[in-house]
Amino acid sequence: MKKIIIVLTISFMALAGFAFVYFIPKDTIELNCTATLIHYENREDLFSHTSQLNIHFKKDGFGYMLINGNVYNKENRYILSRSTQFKYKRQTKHDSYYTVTVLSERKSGLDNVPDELTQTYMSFIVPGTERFLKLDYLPNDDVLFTTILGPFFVCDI
Amino acid sequence: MYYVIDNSLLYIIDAGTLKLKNDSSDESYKLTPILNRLLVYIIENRGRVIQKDEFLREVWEKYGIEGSVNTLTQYLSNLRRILRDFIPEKECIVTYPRQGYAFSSEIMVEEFRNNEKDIEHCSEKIITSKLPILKIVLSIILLTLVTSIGLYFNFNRYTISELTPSFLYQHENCNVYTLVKLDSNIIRETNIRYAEKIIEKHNIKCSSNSSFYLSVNRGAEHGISGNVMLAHCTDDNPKACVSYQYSRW
Repeated sequence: MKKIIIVLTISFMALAGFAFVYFIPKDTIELNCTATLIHYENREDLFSHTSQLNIHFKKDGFGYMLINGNVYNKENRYILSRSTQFKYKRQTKHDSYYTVTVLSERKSGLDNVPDELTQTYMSFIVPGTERFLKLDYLPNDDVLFTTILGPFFVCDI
Repeated sequence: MYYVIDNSLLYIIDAGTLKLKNDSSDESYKLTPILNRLLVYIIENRGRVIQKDEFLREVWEKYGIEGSVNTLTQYLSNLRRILRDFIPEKECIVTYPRQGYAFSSEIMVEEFRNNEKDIEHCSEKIITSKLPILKIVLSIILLTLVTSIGLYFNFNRYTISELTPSFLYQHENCNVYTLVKLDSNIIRETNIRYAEKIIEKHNIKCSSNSSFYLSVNRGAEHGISGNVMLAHCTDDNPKACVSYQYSRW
């Protein structure tokens, strides 16, 4: 009888432990997605860029983003082609709010976007920048990236 | 009938079993028939030295088995070892050189008959000793259950939460959803105007499997500088989403 009680208790606790691990939110995520972003600044279209973003969130709390596209400023056109590394941390227990800090960037030889432009309009790729980011799944399983200014872009998984 | 040896060891003669009195489990040590007869005999005759011949006669020959001094020595050695497992600090069987063996006079032996009172007394002891374990086990189960239920309701299973956009309107065959809550019909109309403006500006074609997600922040809603985002997602193969983001629009 004692053996049965012990076995039942251990089984029950194992099950509860599994439930705990299964339901408790994890601090890190594993996410790979692709987005096309067409961004315009000001009504007069003084600055814009059309970029393809490949974003990877890794389980170890780090990630990287490949960004390729064209940047337009007044009459000028630049090529954007670089990768950035970032770290991220979950901020709240109940929602998927993250702090993302850009750690480094690596430009390809083609990339000729002036630093002043990225620092002014594309701070999300500038090393040292820390952004507050919210991630949400949409019904079609794509992920909505939202910053403090509102929804930023939808990333396709 | 059973004996309680040294106020700790319960010896049930009929079953030939030994177990500690405070052990609430159903497990007990089962003696072989010869060991059982040997132990009964030495306990019943405690207070006197029993010669080897007497042991051989009463334990072996009386039951039609032939014994020897070597066999007796071997059995007594086994019995000592078993008793030592239960009462390690005392030697129950004492050897008297050239005389025989006796049950130690230093060890108290209480004899009980299996009448109702004794059974009740014995059961009460067992129940009393089992009760705390049951209580602990039940408490653990209850605590774990409550904790698990609490965790289930308090934590979201997903590390990325799910967002359910609201339907805004239909552009051709495509549904346009809003990602933010709309407070009034005026704001709804403003949102529709922004969606149409971006769709027209970029000449976005609506395919059968595509949908739009729109977000107009408060500044833009009221004609002040604000951000607008329209995402055009298609479920065709390959899936793709193009997001049109207007800052300070």
